[in-house]
Amino acid sequence: MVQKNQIFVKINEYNEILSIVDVVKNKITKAKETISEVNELKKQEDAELEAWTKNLEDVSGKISSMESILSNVNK
Amino acid sequence: MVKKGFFVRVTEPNEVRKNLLEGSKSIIQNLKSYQKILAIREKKLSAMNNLKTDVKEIKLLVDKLRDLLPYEIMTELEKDKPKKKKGKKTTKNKNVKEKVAPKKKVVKPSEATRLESALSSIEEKLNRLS
Repeated sequence: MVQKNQIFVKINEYNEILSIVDVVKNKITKAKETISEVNELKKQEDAELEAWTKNLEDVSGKISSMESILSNVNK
Repeated sequence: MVKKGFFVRVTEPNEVRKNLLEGSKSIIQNLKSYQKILAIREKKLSAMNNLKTDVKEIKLLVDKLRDLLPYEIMTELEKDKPKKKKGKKTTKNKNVKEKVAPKKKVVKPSEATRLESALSSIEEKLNRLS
């Protein structure tokens, strides 16, 4: 018995649909890999920026220390 | 001729020198870090461009899939589409239209607007399916 609202697709188009679905799946996998790569690069960038901030803090501390030494010359 | 002047004795010269050198070292490390960040950003940009290309290709393929799917599915969806309500015309609206009409400009929708409308159209279709 044929069910209501059934859909039929030509066999050649069906094969094409299957191959396109396969290509789309591959593209999605590739896109996911690229997103992971972008995330990894973002982490690296964040780490570099963090190191940058830490270095600047160090420099700031050293400048303060120098200032303190130079200010106390008369004492 | 040597200029004469007053001198101030630095109490801890080694400490000052050490701080200065370490500060210079940190600054150079920062400059190196900046170069690294530039390289990372370049890589990231390249990866983002690849991603954009992939997503565009996926979109094209999905559009092709939609074309290949039976026409009946699309007509069924169109049938369910709610008709636009015709608003009552008031004199106030007419006046507004008359005022606005001469300033008509063809504004090309931006990429974001186009994508937004495509997305809302798809969401509408999905809602009708569920």
